[in-house]
Amino acid sequence: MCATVVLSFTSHLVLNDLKWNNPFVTIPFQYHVQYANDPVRLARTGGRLFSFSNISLTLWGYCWPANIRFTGGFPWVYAAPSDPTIPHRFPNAKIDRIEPWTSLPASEPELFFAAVAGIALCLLAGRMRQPVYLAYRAPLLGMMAGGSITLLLGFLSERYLQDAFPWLVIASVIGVASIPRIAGAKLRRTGS
Amino acid sequence: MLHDGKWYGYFGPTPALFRLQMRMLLPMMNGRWHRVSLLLGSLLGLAMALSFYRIVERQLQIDGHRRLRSLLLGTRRSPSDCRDLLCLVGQFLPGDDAAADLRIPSCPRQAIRVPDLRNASEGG
Repeated sequence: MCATVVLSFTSHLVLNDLKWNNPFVTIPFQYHVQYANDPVRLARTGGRLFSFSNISLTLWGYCWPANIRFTGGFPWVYAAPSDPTIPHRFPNAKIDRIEPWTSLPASEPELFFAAVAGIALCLLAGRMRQPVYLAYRAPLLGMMAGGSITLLLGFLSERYLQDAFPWLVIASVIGVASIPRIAGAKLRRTGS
Repeated sequence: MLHDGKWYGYFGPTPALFRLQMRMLLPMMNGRWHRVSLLLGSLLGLAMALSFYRIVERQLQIDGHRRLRSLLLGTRRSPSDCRDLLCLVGQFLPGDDAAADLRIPSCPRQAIRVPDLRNASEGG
């Protein structure tokens, strides 16, 4: 596993260096045709698509349960509007655009909370003396790492929730499948 | 992106190569392949999730919890539930009148409000 991580990281750096002459920049916006001619937009993003300073805003956006909108028109549930004042609440964030979006706990509560339970079971497997969960740790952490890239993006959008889907599905399967194992006899009778 | 006289795209031409053949074979499907793609992708995802669920059940030495499996996958819904689910899927398909194209009797075209997100995905 360590070799895979090292190889992936190294190849990423080499590819960046070959393309942009800088190993630590993945998508330099100063070469992007949509940004190169728009200094305001370029400054707003800090010239990068990914930035650790975006985590506070994106974490709030994708995890705060109130980020959804209910109306009287079918289908009654809509994405939260792209309020232009949101970036002002997170002055350090380098956000380029906020599109209508929903948070994971609001739009996918079943998947999200089951996935949280699944990842908790896997991480606490040693303490709980449940070695059967240990085999799931590495793939789950890999999926979480892959999905968490979205938190660094300078965009907030519904379409980026799909990056969390592998983790949501696999971890929620583990969480839901474990309910009979950790619950009492009453729930076991209900589930059968 | 343009750098040192070279153009760089997000994905390169590889995804277009497969689509190019489909476009030549079935030209009437131009602009509609995303619906088939989303449906097949969703079905494949459900099948893989169900398969993984059974693996986890075996490893945890648990058997026969169909209600929990259904809770996760939504596979034991009534036909009317499935119809409503298809209607909602159609609501989120990119484009304009995907849900109406599904010809679902309980979801008349005029009752469906489709937010216009076609111009909202610039960049990123």
